[in-house]
Amino acid sequence: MKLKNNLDEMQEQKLKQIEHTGFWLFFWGIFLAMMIQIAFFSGKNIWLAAGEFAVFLPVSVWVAVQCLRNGIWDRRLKSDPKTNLLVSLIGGLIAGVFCAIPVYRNFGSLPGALATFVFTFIFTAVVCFATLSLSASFYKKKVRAMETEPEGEEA
Amino acid sequence: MAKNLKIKAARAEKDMTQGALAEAVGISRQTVNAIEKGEYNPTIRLCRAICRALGKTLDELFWEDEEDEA
Repeated sequence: MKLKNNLDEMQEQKLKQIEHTGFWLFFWGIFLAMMIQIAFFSGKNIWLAAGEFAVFLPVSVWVAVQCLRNGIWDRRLKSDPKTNLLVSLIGGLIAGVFCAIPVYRNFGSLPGALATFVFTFIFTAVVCFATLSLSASFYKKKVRAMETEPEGEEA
Repeated sequence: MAKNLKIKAARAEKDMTQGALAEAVGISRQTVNAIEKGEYNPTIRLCRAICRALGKTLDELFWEDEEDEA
């Protein structure tokens, strides 16, 4: 049974704005909660943030796939290699810091923490850059296909 | 966005309140109010519905000269 929509177009737009803000609050809230749990509360239990991760990862993948399918990259960032590299380095830096903290807290080893930081930083940055480059090529291919679509044939 | 005084004037011509126009078009009064205050930019579909309810054309109610559009 399909329920009748009680909202007019302006209210619908407002609701979408509210949902948009709510989504990003949830997104970054869960991300922050995961990072804090991993860095400060996980101890030796690496599965502590598994519940959040099980929600966060599929939602992130879904959003990314939907954007690519619709030929959308980002509001402000470009899909060029320079931007992708910068974003990957920032991602690597964040992952490195949050993975090094529990090593230092649990084992008190600064060299160990530094090694974890360097390894995580490089690994995350490389994986991030490869994923972004692959996504950018899909995105460009999709945009090209949409731009050359014959008139009258809409998706 | 500039205020839409043309809708207000057309309503007055027909002796319609914002509520009556809202009911005729099938939207809320707050939306009519927002359109008149220039706070909401309606879709072409809603513009046409408002025009029909007020017996006016799109040009008469929604056309703006370039200097008024800012």
